[in-house]
Amino acid sequence: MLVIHTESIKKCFGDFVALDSINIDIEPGDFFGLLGPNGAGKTTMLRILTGQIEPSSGEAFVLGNNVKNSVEVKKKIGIVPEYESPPSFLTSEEFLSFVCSARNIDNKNVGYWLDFFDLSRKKKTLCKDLSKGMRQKLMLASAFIHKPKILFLDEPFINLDPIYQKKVREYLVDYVKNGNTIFLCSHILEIAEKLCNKIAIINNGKIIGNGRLDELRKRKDETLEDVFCRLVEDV
Amino acid sequence: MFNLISLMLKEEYRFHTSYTSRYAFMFFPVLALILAFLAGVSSSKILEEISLKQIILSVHLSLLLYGMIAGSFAFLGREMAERRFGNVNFMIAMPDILPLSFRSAFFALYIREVVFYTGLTILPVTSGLLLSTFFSPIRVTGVLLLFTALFLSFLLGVSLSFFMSSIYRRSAKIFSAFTGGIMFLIFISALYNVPVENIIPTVSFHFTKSLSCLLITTALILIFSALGIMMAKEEIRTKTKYFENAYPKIEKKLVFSKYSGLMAKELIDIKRSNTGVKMFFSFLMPLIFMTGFLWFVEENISVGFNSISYAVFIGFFSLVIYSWLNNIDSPDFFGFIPVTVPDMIKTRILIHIIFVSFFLVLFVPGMSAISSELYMMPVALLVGFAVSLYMVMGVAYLTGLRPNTSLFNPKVVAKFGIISLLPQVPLVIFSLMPGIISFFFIFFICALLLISCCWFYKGIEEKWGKESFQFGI
Repeated sequence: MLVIHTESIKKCFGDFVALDSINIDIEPGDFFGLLGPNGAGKTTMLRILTGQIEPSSGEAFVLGNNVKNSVEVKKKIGIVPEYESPPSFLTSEEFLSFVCSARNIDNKNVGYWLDFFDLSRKKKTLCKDLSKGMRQKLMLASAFIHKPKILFLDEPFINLDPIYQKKVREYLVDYVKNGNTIFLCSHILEIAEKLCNKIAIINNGKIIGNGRLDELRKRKDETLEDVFCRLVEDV
Repeated sequence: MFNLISLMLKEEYRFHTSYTSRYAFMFFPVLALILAFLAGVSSSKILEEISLKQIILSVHLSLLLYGMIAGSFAFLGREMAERRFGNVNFMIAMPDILPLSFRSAFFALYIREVVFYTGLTILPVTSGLLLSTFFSPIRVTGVLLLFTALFLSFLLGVSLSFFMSSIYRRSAKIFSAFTGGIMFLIFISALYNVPVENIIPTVSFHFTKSLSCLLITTALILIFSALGIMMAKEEIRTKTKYFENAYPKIEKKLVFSKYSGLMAKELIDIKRSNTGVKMFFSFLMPLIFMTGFLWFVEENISVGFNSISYAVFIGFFSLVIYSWLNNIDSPDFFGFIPVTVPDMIKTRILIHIIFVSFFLVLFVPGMSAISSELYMMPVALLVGFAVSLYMVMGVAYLTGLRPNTSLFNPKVVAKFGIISLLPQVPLVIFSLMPGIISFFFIFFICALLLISCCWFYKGIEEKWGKESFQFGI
């Protein structure tokens, strides 16, 4: 069974076509990377799949739910957005308690996730007074806390120090090994090459390459960066 | 500096046109021009009913209040600099990353507010009146004097707001003392029937055309604006505060509500952002203005305003609470959890009801007691509650989570006007005719308002169900 399936997704903002005929199929246990230059349509695709915005045409399903039923989709997934934006006037601890309440789960894991991201010493600090990196850690914790089947991550490593980049990477690898799925948007190719088993490259709203890295390579020694540049520049 | 001001003006224009179309936004000054023209043309008829002095006083008070509201964005200036509004950034935050002082940016903000809001309303109104001089006995010199005096009233309001915002940023205690002082002066002036022109120098200038009044007004504007800008705090970081986890306890207390989790979060926001205090004062200011206005009207033509009419106004002004609730923090985050825009709107309506109930119980009995109309108090409370509930449901239905910005959209303004005037005009009229039949009609209108509330409440789901939390999407 596919965990993510889209049929000819199109998204327009006025006259501007942000996404055009996007077809993506993702299976359980995939670490899927949606890569592309700035403004290619990665974040728009992620927003559609997570029920934040609706497509102009086409259908998308996540864990069997049509993304138009956004609440049902959001209940089952975890989202880390491009911008770290936890509520300004809640403390770190309160923020995670609030997420548990909104997701209707027990808040017994709040302490674990604060410890995991080394935020326990900041648990009484308002989110607005935290550094960007700490806010990013909180957003990651809020996406992990209910152990979703799919994680949607938009540039999740930005703002994290190298130690936590490694720690989060290792967590994500284990998470996928346990049969869960990750949908990652990024333009950091080194990370995508290390982590993703499936890749789609998007440019100007269109998928220009989709499959396993070895399927996308023309030569055996081609790196993801070579593949990316070739496909994007060919267009 | 000129470049910064020009960019800020562009930013303000684009910010406004981002939630309505360019044409819809431009309709606003055109409408002001047309209305002013019509008012000018029919001035002879209007002057048969109301004296010129009354008109001038009302317009000055309105412009002063308008200036204070336009200037109140100064209170938001620091908020905008300290944190991003979702994924939207503002020019006022540029001193963070550019070799530019916050005071310079604050000064540019001051000029922007003056130029933008003068261009949006005062200039079109003046142009409309100037056009009407061809068809009415109004003289061009009279219109130019009116423009100068009204512009000064507006400037005085903006400057006072900037000054107050800087005081507020430095010390909430001094701010409270200063506000208390102003209110005390207004109270004393009302008590001893001091003419308005003796309190507001721009009105005095308008009536006397004396150079000394003009100099006093100009000096006041310069002092308030200069102090406001000079006292603006340069450092960006505010003092970090620490709080125990209050969320689970508050949530438990709210188990009666389906939205207990969201309500708990909102109540914490209100407390820690000091929004409760801001709500109280922004509720109080129009009430003081309205009380002064009603007192002035009663002094000149005895209309018979009473506690019930007052409750209608309180119900209407309670909208500032819903407006503040939507201004505390960016709602972006809610897009990532299983919460919908209608859930958030309904949560804020519930909180609005809690706060309004508090304000109604505080002000209506007080007003009834002062006016020796305690027998009217129960009806006044019912009217105040019904109007405030109806207004918040109507505005929530019309504007969702963006009441302030949506009210720049002429279509929304027109609908808002119909929604608010339809029940309020008859309610005020019936309130002026105490008696069993009037009371019956008042009860009937209140019942209709409450039925309309149910309709609006149901409509929120349908209208805003597919709305995104993020700005501009």
